[in-house]
Order: sequence, then structure tokens, then C-alpha cells
Amino acid sequence: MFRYVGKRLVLMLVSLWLIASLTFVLMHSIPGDPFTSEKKLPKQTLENLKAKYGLDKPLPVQYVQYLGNLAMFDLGISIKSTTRTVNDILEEGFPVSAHLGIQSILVALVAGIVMGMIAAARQNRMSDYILMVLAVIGLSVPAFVLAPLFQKYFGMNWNLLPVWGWGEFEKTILPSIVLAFSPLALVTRLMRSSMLEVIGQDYIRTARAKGLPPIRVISRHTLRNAIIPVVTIMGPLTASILTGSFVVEQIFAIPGLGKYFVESITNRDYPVIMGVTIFYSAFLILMNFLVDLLYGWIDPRIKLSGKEAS
Amino acid sequence: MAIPVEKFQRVERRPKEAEAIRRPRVSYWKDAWIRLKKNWLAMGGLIVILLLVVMALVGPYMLPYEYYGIDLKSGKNLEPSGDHWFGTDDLGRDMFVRTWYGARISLTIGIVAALIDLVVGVLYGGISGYKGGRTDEIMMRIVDVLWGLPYLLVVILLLVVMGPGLLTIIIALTVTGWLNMARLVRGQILQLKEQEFVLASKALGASTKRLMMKHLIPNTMGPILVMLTFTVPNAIFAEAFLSFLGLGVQAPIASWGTMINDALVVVLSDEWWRLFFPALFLSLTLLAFNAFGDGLRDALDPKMRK
Repeated sequence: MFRYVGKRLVLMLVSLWLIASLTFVLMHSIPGDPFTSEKKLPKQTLENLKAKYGLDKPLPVQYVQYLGNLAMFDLGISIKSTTRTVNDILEEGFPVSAHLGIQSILVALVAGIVMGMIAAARQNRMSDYILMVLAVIGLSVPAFVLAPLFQKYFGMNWNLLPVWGWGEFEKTILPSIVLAFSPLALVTRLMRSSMLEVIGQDYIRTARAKGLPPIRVISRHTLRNAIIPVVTIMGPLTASILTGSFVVEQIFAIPGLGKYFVESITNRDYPVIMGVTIFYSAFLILMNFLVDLLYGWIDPRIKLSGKEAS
Repeated sequence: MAIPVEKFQRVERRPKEAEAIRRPRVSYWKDAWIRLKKNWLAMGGLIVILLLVVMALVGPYMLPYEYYGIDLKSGKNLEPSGDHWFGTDDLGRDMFVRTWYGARISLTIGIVAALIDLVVGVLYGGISGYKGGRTDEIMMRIVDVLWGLPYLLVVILLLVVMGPGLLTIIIALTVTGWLNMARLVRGQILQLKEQEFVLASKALGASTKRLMMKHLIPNTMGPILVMLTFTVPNAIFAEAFLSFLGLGVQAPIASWGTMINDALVVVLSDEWWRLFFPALFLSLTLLAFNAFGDGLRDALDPKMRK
């Protein structure tokens, strides 16, 4: 167990170092420097600016400095708005994105598990087919198609919910649903197949044979075992919610991290792109790690060891 | 009541006949095809994919316009009509021609990216799994570390640096895209290489190349194909997503992603056709590949046999 955790920690750090170095190399391989596209600046100003951002030093020095700063959680300064650091942007945007993301994950998990159970319980009947067709559609319609449609119908045509901005709970409803859509489809499908597998097991027959009411068989015996595979996709699920948030926050004008990230890409604000990428990567890598630990804890049959199971 | 002896007929022993195979031989692939044909969802997907490919090839020639043909005078934002089957966009470009031209670009990205992933993944995973030992250990550590990197973020990063474009998108998508395939192939090869028929082939003096090409890779073809059918829609989806970030193919070239992105600004107005057609065909393509992939996976799994 400890060996496994240690090994994963090392791997995590190597991945982080790699993505940090990759961003550094990539961002410095762009021809010119961040100020070439601006208005013609006087030579002295340009040099001062470069000195301010440390761009006048040789690359290896910059690299070491950069890694040092990263280790201190200093992600640099936005070039486009000089008063804001990347940390400011993270502090401002991440809570909003996290709020939206957690809400969507909850929707996806709860609705997905319920729908998956219904589909499995009514296998090869009409409700199963309808749910499965819906799930495939959910996986096939991208958020940037769904979001404008939701805005148009729920917001404009039927005037049910606000489609823009952030602050009150009503404003979070539509974005959360759009964001939850494809994870929901994924969870439903997974839940259905794992339910079907568990239902066929002997201990379920035993539970039924000894006369337990069906609801108890499902809650105590089936659900607890069927839910385990859902835990494994929490990692990819988080990643998909995260990339989905770029789209949803942009379209619904939500001041979250995803929106800032998309804007920094459009403006070619390199320090922000670098900083947010590293932050996101660290976040996802950490999530995957936690999910793996959680998985071992939930299902004692899985031994976490230093050796690979394959 | 007794039955007279002459009513009985002696059945001679005819071992040849008893051993004869009366039914036609059904190979693994034929068997899978039979099962696939019964799955209407998967077959529907296959037919839609074929139709889309045909339309991507001939669609742009069905109307006398070019995908970059601008008509600013009288052709802006026209509704679908006999002249412009899918209407026109804000620059007066014909949406029908652009939609199918976009299909070409999107399908090309999907298929080329999937093929590159296939080649790199099969080679890498094949070598790693076949060699085993230290080589495998080192190669898989590299994969593990790359695996930790978030896929779309790396793609975005690469595109920001390389600049958007058809070629750069394909490169960015494949830089870490082959990892899935490599892991899959390695796992399969590891299992297969310990089996008796491989040993037999080795004992008969088969070369490594022959073992790989004749025995190991053909036997992993099923899972590889299934993964391939899921890689194509993922790449198409990724391209559309990148277009949304402004990192897709550049105008005047059209892809479904860029067309949808262009239409987002007018979605709340009445020009529904601007979003409808590219969004419909993008979703339909993803749907078709996903449905076909699901069916293929079930069909190729001998455990699903009834």
C-alpha cells in the first residue's frame, strides 16, 4: 500500500515536471517575445519590460527561475493586464468553476446512477431502449451545440430561466445541466452494464431466495457492488467537466477559470495560458490519484501494490 | 407388443461421415459479421458513416458554388431554398457546399489521426509487449508519465505554439493520442505471447517478424478495430472543440467545428440553418461512430455469442 502510494507520488511529480517543462519549452519556442505584437515601443521601455519579466536572462537561468517560482506556487503575471497575477485570476475564477463543476458532477452522478438502474432493471424493454438511445445521443451532441440550443429555448422562447451571468442559483441551472450532459450519459451506460453484471451473480439470487424485499436487494446488495466501476471513471469525468467548462462558461458568460483560459488563448496571453495549464494539469493529476486511492478503499478486493496488475 | 426384427435397421459405423463438418465453416470475422448484422443500431451507424463519406466526396460538387465563394451583394444569410439547399452564411457562402466540404475536413482529421495513432500505438505497444522485461519496463514508464498529462490541455498548448491549421491539428491530436492504443496492444500481446500456438510457431522456426505479422497482431485486431472506431469520433470532436477556442482550421477552409463556431453569434436570431446543419451532421457522425463502435465491440466479443 505505502509502496504503491509512494510510487504514484513520484509518477505524479514527474508528470507535473514534464508538463511544466513542456509549457516552458513551447512558450519560448514561439518566435519573438510577448511584446513583439504590441505597438512599437521605445527601445528602453522594451528593455525595461523584458527585465521586469526576466526575459533578458539566458534561457537556462529563466528555466530554473521558472521552476523555482512554480515550487513556490508563483505562476507569474498576466501580460495583457499588467496589474493581475495568474494567482489572482486563479483565486477569482476557480471557486466559480469549482461551484459549477461540483454541481454538474452531482447532477451527472445522481441522475446517471438512477437512470442506469432503471435501464438495467427493465433490460430490453421500452424504457431501457429509450434511456440507452438518450445516452448515446448525450455522448454525441457536444456542449457547444447544446448550450446555444438551451439558451434559445429555455431562455428566449419559453422564458423559463436566465441564460447569462452568475450570482443567483437560477443562473447556475442551465449551465450545470449542459455541463452534466455527456458525463451523465457516460455514467448511465456504465451503471447499466455493471448493474446487469451484478444482477446475474449468485449472491443476488441468494438474497432474493431468502426472501428479502426487492428494494433491499437493490440497495444493500446490488447497488453497493454495481457502483464501484462508476468510481473508476471519476477521473476522466472530472477532465471532461473541466474541458466542458471552457465552453459552458464562455457561452453562458460565467466569470470562471474556463472563461479566463479561453480569453487568454484568444489574446495569446502566454503567462496566463502557461499558469492555468499547469494549474489544471496539477488538479487533474491529483484527482486521478485520489480516485485511485478511493477505489482501493471502497473495494477491498482490489489490492493496491507496487506491482502492476496486468 | 413386440416389434419384429426386420423393422430394425442396423446402422453401420461410418466414422468418416460422423466426423464430417456439415455446416459451412464460420471464421471469427464471419461470425462477428453475422452478429453485427443483427444489431440494427450498429448497422444504422455503419450505413450513416458510409453515406457521410460518399457525401463528403461528392457533396461539394452537387451545387455550382465554391466553399470560399463569397457573395456579399444579394447572397447573404439566405434561407434554405432551391438555389441554396442549406441556405447561405453571413458572407454569402453556400452552406450545402460548405457543410460537405467541412465533412471532408472533419472526417480527414478523424481518420488520419486515428490511423497515425494506430500505427504508432501498434508498433510501440507491440515492441513493448513482445520484448518484455527491461525494455517493456522502460517503455511503459514513459507511457505512464505521458499518460498523466491531460490530453486536451496538451493539444491546446501545442496548437497555441504551432498555430492553427489542418496539419498542426492532426499533429497535436496524435502527439499523445497513441498512448491508448499502445497500452491496449501491449496488454493483448503480453497475454498472447505465452499461448501454445505462439510457442508452436516459434518451435517451427518462425522469425520475430512472422510471429508478429501472422500471429500476434492479427489476433489483437478485434480490440484494435474497436478502439479505432472510437478514436475517429474523438478526434472529430476534439477538432470541433478546438475550433470553439479559435484553434481550429482557418478560414476560408470550413470544418463543422468552425462553422458551428461562426454560427454561435447568430444563434439567438432567426438564422437557424447556420447552426442546424453543421451541428446536425457533427452530432450524427459522432452518433454513428459511437453506435457502430458499440456494436462492433459486442460482435467481436465471443462471450456475447448466444
